[in-house]
Amino acid sequence: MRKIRLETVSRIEGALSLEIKVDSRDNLAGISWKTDLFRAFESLGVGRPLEEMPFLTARICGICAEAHHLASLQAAEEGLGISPPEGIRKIREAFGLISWLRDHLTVLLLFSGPDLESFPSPDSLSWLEKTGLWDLFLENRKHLRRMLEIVGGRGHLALGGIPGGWGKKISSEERKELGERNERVLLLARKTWELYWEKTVSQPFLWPVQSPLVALSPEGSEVLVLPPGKNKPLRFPLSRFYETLVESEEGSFLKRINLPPFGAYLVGPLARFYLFPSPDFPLSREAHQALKNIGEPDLSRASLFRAYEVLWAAERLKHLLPELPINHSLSFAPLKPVRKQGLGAFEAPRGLLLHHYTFDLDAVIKTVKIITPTAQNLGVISDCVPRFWPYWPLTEEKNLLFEIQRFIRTFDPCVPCMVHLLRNRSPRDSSPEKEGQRKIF
Amino acid sequence: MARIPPIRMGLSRRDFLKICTIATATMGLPVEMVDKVAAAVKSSERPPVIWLHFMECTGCTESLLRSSHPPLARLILELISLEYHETLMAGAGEQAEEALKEALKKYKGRYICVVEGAVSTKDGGIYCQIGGRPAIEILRTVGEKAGAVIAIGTCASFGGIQAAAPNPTGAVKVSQVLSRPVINIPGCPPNPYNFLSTVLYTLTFGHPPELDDLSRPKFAYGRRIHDQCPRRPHFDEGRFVESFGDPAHQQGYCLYKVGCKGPVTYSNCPVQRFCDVGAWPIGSGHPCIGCTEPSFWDRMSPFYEHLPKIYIPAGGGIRVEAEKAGRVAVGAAAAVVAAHATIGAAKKVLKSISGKEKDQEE
Repeated sequence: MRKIRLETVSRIEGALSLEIKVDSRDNLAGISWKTDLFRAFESLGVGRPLEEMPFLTARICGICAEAHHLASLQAAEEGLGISPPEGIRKIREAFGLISWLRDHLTVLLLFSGPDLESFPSPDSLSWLEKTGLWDLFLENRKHLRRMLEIVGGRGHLALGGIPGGWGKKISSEERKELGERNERVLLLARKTWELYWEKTVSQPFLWPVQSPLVALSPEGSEVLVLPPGKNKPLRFPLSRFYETLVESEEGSFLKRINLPPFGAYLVGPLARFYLFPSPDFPLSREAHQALKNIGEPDLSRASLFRAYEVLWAAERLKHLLPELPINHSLSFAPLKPVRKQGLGAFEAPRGLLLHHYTFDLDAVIKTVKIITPTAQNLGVISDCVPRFWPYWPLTEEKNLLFEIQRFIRTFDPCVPCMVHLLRNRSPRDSSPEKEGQRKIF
Repeated sequence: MARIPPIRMGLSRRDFLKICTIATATMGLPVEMVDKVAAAVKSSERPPVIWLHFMECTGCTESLLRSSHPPLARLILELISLEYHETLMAGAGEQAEEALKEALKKYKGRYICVVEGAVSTKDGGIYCQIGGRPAIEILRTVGEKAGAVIAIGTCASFGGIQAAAPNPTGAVKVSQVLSRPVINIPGCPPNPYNFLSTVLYTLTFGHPPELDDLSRPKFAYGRRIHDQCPRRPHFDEGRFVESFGDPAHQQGYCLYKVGCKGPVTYSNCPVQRFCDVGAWPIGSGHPCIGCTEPSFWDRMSPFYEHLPKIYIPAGGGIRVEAEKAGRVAVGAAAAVVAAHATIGAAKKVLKSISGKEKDQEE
């Protein structure tokens, strides 16, 4: 029995390591995941005012900050019995779309881009320069940051989220500026889609999906579940879906989520593609049709679906911007909970994100539970490794590790989101505390 | 593995001088110094940098790379020679660790160690490990041999969110681990100009800038937000926002009564704005939450209640009113501010009375 260690997987958000056990015949004998960074966010929220949660949870991850901000806001509003007006919903949607664009473009052009090349892959910055997109990428970082700033009040770690409202007004000049900047983003979106299409479409299918696909319905009240081989999704009310989920621990500090009776399931761009209706916008409709024609869901092409979503988000934003209210009136709802819990859901760039809080009638948090896209995808990643193992190059360890990392990166995992949220302890941790062992928090 | 190679930045001379000018102004230096700063950037060897990520959200790197106009991120990447950066490098595992070892050997005593994130100390530091090694151990190895150590962001500078009560992982700030001076550039996230200006200052003058008691460059953190705030005249005149969305809020009045921590927060946000020319919290109508100060998640919470009423979460859903902590932490400044606010409000009342008297006389 030999052990292959990968410490740490590069070009993903956060630190993830794995140990693979291989027997004398090169069969996979076991795989264990390990993350080396645990911040216990579910503990840190306890005892804090409910209205601070959108700010606190945005610090779970600097990449997914906007997604946590929005999901947290929704959870707070459900508990407070508030429903924001239509104009505010549109501002939040615009905010979410800009964060999608920024996040997906970062992942496509910095993290997964070098994987389009053969082994050994170049570093991100050299690869990006070689594609000729470096200048446009940097320019668009500027545009997207400014757009987040216009809508969210700050380019990073936004301040817009107020229960029942949105704290940052948008002037008519700013709305015009958003439109102009979005045109440049759309240009990069097109080029990114073309690059990924050209590099990916001719490649053979490698990693077919055999898990249910899951996404929040576009109107946000239901969760859609598409079992393998089916054409029509099952529909669950959001709260019922949440209550059905089962949490377990996978490796060290990692949370895995299963959906009985299906077990592991996939969330994210690929799932959304098969669950969402065709878009009405010209470029993304064309891309959607092209993707439909390439066949069954395949994880080796997951980045292509991400590139499609960039195109869709830029076009959706273009159509949404004229509808954003100008200088909307600010309001701050009274912080008097009408119930003692709240559930928020948001389709984050990486997939379905759920925030669930319980609190007292003074709006002080009692428990926090956060289900992230990566925690939901972890089961699929774990289940797929044994399936794909025979097809990976086993003779050269470097090549094997390259393939495994490439596979992991197709899920665009965000490890900090996942691990910072683990429930406090498991029964096996009840041994006496000693140096180097986890203790009860 | 070789370090991350330099990239053709395509930075125009105009942009370059613009950045140098803003950075020079940020440092509080006269405009005549711009040429000297620019010369230092151009002539000096690119300082090798080892960038460590510990307990953090990568928000500081994100904030830095998300800088907008002028293209600050380009200059930063041009200015420094990034030898090791987990998020941006291609290699992984042993390859990455080899790169780190190589850089440590080659640039011993000359490299800048930039740390993003806090360090776990509980249970032997197992809650934050890189490549199987606890962060605390890596920091000691890399930090002690560096030419300079910069803690970027509030997590590295003061412990940040993971060090908030009940601090389950025993997270601490970088300077608590190292027995050497550390330059702190706090902020959640920090302003990239404050980082750039600190590096530029050191390159230009050969020594770090003057620091305050919390090891923050005085040029960036020497004055309270309150003293530089464009809404200060409203405070002085007793014009306060009473609740979000009220007419006073629409008019852009002072946010002190809805929780603004500007009076006890030291930072150049009002002048520098957030991330160069952009917006900043108070400018967007949101109270400052004091993110450049130590333990702000505990000391400044609740964010929407005004000073000095400070609560500290004690776990299990209990919140304790920490009058004592409030007094020690921010009480002195808050008392002055509260007195000042009262005077402002009194002035407003007097004005209104005198106005009424005037009307009656007429």
